[in-house]
Amino acid sequence: MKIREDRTIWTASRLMNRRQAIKRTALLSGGMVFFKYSLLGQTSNLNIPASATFGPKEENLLQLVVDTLIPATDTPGAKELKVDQFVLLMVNDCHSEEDQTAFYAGLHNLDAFTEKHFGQSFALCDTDTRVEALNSLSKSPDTTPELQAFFKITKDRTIQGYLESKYVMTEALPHKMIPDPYDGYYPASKLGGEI
Amino acid sequence: MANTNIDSVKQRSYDAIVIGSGISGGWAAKELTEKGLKTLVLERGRDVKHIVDYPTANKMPYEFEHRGEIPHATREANPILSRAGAWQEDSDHFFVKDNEHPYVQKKPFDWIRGYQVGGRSLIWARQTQRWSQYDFEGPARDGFAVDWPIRYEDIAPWYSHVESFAGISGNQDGLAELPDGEFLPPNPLNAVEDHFKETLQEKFEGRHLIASRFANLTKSTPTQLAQGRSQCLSRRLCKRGCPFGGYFSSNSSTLPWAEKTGNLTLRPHSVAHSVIYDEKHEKATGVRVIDSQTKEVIEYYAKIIFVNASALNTNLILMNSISSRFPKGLGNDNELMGKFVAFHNYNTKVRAEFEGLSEFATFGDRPGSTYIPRFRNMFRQETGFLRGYATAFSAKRNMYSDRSGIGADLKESLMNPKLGGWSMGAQMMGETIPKESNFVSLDSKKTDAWGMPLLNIDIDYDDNDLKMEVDSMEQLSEMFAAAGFKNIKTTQKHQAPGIDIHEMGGVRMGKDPKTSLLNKWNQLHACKNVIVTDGACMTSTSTQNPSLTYMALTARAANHAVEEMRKGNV
Repeated sequence: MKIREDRTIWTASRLMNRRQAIKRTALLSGGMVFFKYSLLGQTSNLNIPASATFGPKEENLLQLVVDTLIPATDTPGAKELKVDQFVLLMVNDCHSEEDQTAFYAGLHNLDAFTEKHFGQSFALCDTDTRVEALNSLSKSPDTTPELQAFFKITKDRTIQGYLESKYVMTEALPHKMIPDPYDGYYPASKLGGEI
Repeated sequence: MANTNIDSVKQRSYDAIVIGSGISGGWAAKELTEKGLKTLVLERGRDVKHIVDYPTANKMPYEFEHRGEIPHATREANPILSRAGAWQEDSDHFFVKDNEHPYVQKKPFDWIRGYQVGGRSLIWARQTQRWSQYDFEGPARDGFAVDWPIRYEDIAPWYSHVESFAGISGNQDGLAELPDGEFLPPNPLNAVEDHFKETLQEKFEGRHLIASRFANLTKSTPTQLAQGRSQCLSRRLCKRGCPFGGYFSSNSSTLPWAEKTGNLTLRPHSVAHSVIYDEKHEKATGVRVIDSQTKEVIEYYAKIIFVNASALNTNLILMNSISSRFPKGLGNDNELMGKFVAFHNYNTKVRAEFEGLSEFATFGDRPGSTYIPRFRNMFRQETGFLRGYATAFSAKRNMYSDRSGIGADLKESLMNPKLGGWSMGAQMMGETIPKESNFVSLDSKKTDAWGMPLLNIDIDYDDNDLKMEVDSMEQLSEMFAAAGFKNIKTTQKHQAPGIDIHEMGGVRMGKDPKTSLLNKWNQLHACKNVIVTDGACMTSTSTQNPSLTYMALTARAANHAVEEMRKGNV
């Protein structure tokens, strides 16, 4: 099992008990919460590099990728939470120029990859094929370094944007600003399974 | 017109002036105003009022545009500041940017500064261990620097004085090398920390793991409630400023306390240019200030002057205080000012994992961690290097989620984090030996935006530091192995000095005016109404986080200065 250890999002202290969380989500969601939690107000603040080609087609493609990574189920997915906008914001503001160049170039390489291996553009693939495409992408030797970089950045930032969205931090896995009193001998069995 | 001038001078006259509002300046202000002295506190930065000027204090993580990350271009523009771990989107407003206040790095030195009311007391790490007799005796025993003019007994009552007021948590551990004090309840240890503690007790004579002493209120007492401060809620968001006053800062504690006396005048935006010396009366008469916004030069006058501008800036101001009596800087007859600067060596870390005690995890949070006081060369010289290192230690068990999948599987695993194994980390905090070759000086040509000379910083590690680094990795690995820890990994960094943010010295205390700048009451030997009690006064560095010692030295020196004033001696 692959475990990312460089960015530990969770500490036991800040997690509400899983059962409580599910209960709250069920009470509050009812399918109606999705649009309430837009991650960012607008797209107009994005500093897209002048060298990048990024129009409605690319925007749509990125939305499809984040939606494939974390889809809507009985709870909102990354697209409803506008995580694609978060990914773009972070790429433009918090990554190096090298990363940015690779990200935008890699985005453009995605369709060529799916056309070669799945016979059509990413947008035309069905949901299962998109999942398969992204899964195979990270293992395939037949990709460009830019596409790999695009995928890694997008996946990392999508997970971050999702977990650190208002929706997840208030409804799905509520974040406590004030943690519980410290217990250094807390029964491990109460924390829902070990890795 | 003459009367107007006299009035104007009167309006600019106080009993005392304190340069700097950080952790030591705040204490000077508190003690002096409590004793009835009309006190002017000068701060070069903006005002930061407790609670109202903590704009990020209650924000949820998603309320930060970049979720806490500093944008790439800003990091690139601030290579020095980028190395300070506490500089994030939520604390950005409390750190000096590289280009705002340049200095000259003769050798690499990361100078991390907080120019605002409260200074770095807003963003400090809050560890507060006392020094012991062995620390004050260090230079004399081991033959470096000069002998401290004070001993533990001189400062012990003042440690108690500041601990009671600031609120320090800890155990009565009964260790000669780390004296006990006036403590609030300690931070609890967890299962693995207790296990490591027991391992040391059984297998390593003279090595002890204790709950770190921390300046977070594990309980509110009437003393802190009277300051408007309540119990720490373990949010661990201290660097944003605490709306509960849960940790000690000048802003939450000493400055509002001083203000309540009615004797405090706080002047932000005031760059101290120099201390004014009156050659006829052979004493300092005031401070020349540059208003940082208007660039107007204004003089303020007082009977006593505390210089608490932070270690290196105190050196800068005193070296810039030139008169025909003191052409090399105020009180600098022996030309040792700026020299013998030292710091703490944080270059090594040891990490490990532990498969035992898997029935336990941790839950909730605490504001502290654990500490292993120095054990090398403690009571006698016994290694090939001088002095030693203390160690910060903590063990934790994090929740992880499998991120390998894509789609509904990924989402499901993100929503169901699992408990990982125990992991632990230890960080050395080494004493460095003050040397004449580690020094700061004024640049003869370059000046800042206010016309102040830039500081040249010429400071480096030495062989003693390197030997100590190797020893710390060996010893901690051995201790980890004895506790059954696995997958032990050592890291030896080569970071520039300064990033420990414990720079000290340059205006050291000592018995002899020929070899030191300050006497045992922190007065300049050659100008006794100027008192230095920040990091600049330190004769040696020991291993403990220094702020508590600055506080105690300040309270002691302030009370002595007031007595001397009342006797007519200054």
